[in-house]
Amino acid sequence: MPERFVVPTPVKLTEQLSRRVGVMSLIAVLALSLGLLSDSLTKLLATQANISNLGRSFVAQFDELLARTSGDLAATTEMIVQSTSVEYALRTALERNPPLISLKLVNLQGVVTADRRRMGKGETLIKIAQPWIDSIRKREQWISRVYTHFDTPTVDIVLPVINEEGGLYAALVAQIDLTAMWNGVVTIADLDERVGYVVDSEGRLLVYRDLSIVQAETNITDRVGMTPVQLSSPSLPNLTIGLEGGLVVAFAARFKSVPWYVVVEQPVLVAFRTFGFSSLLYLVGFLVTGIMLLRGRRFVNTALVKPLNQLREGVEEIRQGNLSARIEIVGVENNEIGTLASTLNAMAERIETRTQELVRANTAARESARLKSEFISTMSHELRTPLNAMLGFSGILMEGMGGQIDGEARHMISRIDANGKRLLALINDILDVAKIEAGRMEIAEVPTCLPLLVDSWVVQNEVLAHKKKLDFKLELDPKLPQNILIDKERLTQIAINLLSNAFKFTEEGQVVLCVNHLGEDQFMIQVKDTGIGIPPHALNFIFDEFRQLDGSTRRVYGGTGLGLSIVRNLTRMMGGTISVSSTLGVGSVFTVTLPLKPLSQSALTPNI
Amino acid sequence: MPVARNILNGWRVVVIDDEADSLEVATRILVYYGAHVETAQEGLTGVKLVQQSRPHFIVCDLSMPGMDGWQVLRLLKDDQSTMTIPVIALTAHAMPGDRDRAVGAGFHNYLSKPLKPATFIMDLLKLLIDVPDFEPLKHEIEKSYEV
Repeated sequence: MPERFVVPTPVKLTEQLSRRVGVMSLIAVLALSLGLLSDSLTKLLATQANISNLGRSFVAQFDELLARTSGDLAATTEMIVQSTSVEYALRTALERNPPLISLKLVNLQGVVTADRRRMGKGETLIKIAQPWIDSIRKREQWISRVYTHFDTPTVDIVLPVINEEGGLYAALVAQIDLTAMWNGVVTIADLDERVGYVVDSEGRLLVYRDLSIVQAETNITDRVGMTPVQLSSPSLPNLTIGLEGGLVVAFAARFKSVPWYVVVEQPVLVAFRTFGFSSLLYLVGFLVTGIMLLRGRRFVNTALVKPLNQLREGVEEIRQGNLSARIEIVGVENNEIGTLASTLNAMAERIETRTQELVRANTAARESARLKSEFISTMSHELRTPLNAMLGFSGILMEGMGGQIDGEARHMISRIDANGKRLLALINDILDVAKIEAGRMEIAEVPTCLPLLVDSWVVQNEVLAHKKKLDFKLELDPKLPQNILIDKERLTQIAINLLSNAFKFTEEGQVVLCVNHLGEDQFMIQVKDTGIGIPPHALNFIFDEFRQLDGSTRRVYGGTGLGLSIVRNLTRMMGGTISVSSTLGVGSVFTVTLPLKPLSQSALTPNI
Repeated sequence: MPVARNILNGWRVVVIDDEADSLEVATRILVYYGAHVETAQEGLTGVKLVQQSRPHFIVCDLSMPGMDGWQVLRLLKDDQSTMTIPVIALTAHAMPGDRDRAVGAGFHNYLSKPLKPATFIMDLLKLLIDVPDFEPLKHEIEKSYEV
C-alpha cells in the first residue's frame, strides 16, 4: 500500500524551547551584568569621591599651613627690617612656627648674616651660588624641592627682605620640616588601605611613607602610567596601577600654594569590599537564572517532550498496523497531553473494533463467495452426471449399438443428442465463469507443438464448414516456432470459441483462421468471417457476461452469451489481449494477442 | 469411422464406475465391439474382480464414493499379479494438467466424460496401441483407418 502521508522527522522540541529559554536567560544575564557594571561604576565613583575628598582636604590643610607659615615669614621679614634685633625676630618666628627647623638671613652676596635653628649651631657662610637668587632678585618667593635633612622631609622657602625704601638687601631662608605637616598624608595607609603621596607637577615623587622610594627619585608617571594632571581629572574613576603595584583607584589634588599634587589611591578590591551584599544578590540572581534554565529544560523534557514522543511512538505503532497497541504516558494523565492520549486511545479502540468487524465481514463475504463457487461447481458436476448418461445412451442409439433405429425416431433421438450437447456446453460455460470469478481457473503451461494444435482446431471445424458450405482457410505463419510453452487446453478453448462463433454467424462466404508471429515475443490468432457483423454500439459490451445483441439473437443462434466473456478472461489470464473490429453485414475480425514462449526442439515431449 | 465389430473379440475388460448409467454406456459400447466385460460399482469390489479375472485392461472412474480411482490404481500397482494391466481413467470434469497427473500416478491414460459412442472405441484403442499385448490391435486399427 503506497504511503499517502509522509511522516517527517520531528524537530527536537527540547532544542527549540531551550533555545528560547536560553535567549531569555541570556537577556537576564545581560541585565544582571549591566546592573553589576553600573553598580560597580557607582562604587568606583563613590570610592573616587571618597579619595578625592581626602586628597582635597589634605591639600586644603597644607595650603592653609603653608599660607600661614609664609604669612608669618613675610611678617618676620618686616620685623627684620624694622627691629634692631634680627636675632630676636628670627627666634620668635621659630617659636611661633614649630615646623621651622632653621631661619637664616642671607645677604645678596651670599653671606649668612644671621642663623637661628631649633637644634645645633648654624653655618656662617654658604655658597654664593644659591638656586633661589634669581627669584629673590625678582623679589619673588622661592620654594625648594623637598629634600631629606636628617631623615626628615624638608623644604626651603626663601623670601626677599625689602627695606622701607623698597630696596632689596637680603633673603630670608626658612627650612621647614614637612614631617609634621604631611604626617596626615603619609599615615593614611592605616585607613582602608588608602595610600597618600605627594608629587610635583612633573610627577616626581616628593613625599611618601617609604623614603627609599622617594630617594630613588621615582617618577610616578612611569609607575602609575598617568600624569598628575590626568589623575586630577574628576570626571571618571581613575583605574590605574598603584605606586607599589596592584589595581587601584587613584586621584590627584593640586595644591594652591605650590605646583604639587597629593595623590590618594585605594586598591580596587578594598573599594569593592562594601560591595559584598549586592554582589551576593547578583550571585543569587545568576544562580536562580541558571537553575531556572536547567529546571525549565527538565520541565519541558518531562512534561512536554517525553510525553509527546511517547504519544508519537504510540500513534506510529498504531499507524503501522498494530491496532491493539495503546498509548501509555506516565505522569501527565491529567493534563492536555494525557487527555489527548486518552482520546487517541479511544479512537484506536474504535478503529480496532471497526477493523475487526470489517475483517469478520470480509471473511464472511469471502466464505460466502467460496461457498457459492463451490455450490456452482458441485451443481455443475451433479447436472453433468445424468446429462453424460443421457448423451451416452443417445450416442449409443444414434450409432446403432442398441439396434437399428430409422425414420422419425432417429430424427428425434438426434434432437435429444443435439440439445443434450448444447445443455452440456452451457453447463461447462457456467462452470468456467464460476471458476474465473472464484479465481480457481488455473493456467498450466505445457510444451506444445503449435502447428499440430492449430491443425486439431481446423479438423474440429471442418465438418461445420462443410455442412454450411463455407470456405474455411488456414493461414499459419511459417516463421512461428514449432514448439512453444502454453496452456494448450485454454488456447484451444479460445480458438474453438471464436471459430464456432464465426461459423455460427456466417451464412455464406468464408471463415479464415490466421496464426501470425507478432513482434519479437508475441503471436496473434485472428478469426475473420464474412458474417452478419456486429453493430458499432455493441462492440463496447460484446465481451461482457450475459450480453448478446438481443433476445432474438439468442433465439436464432443459441449460446449462453458467456463464450466471449470466457475468451476475454482466459486471454487476460494468459497475459494476452483481445480485440474486435466489425462492419455490419460485411463481417467481423477477432484478434487475440498472446505472449510467445518458444521452446527448443529438445525440450519438447510429444503431447498431442 | 467404422470399426470392425469383432475388434475386441476375446478381450476381457473390467469397468469400475459408481454411476450405474455411465457403467452401462461403457459396457454396452465395449460389448458391442466383442469384448467380455465385467463391472464393479465400488473401488474395492473392482480390485477384487481384477485380481480374479485378470482382464486385458481396465476402465476406471476417478471420482467415486468410498475408494476412488486413485486408490484403486494404487492397490492394483501394489499387487504383482495386476501391476502390468493398463488402467484407463475416466473423469467427468477435465482440468488442465489432469492428464499429466493421471499418467504420473500410473494410469495408462485417461478419457473424459461424456463418453462419445461414435468415437469412444477409436479413442480407447489409440490409447492402448503402445501396449505390447495389443500389438495385433495395431494392425486392425490401421486397417480400420484405411476403410
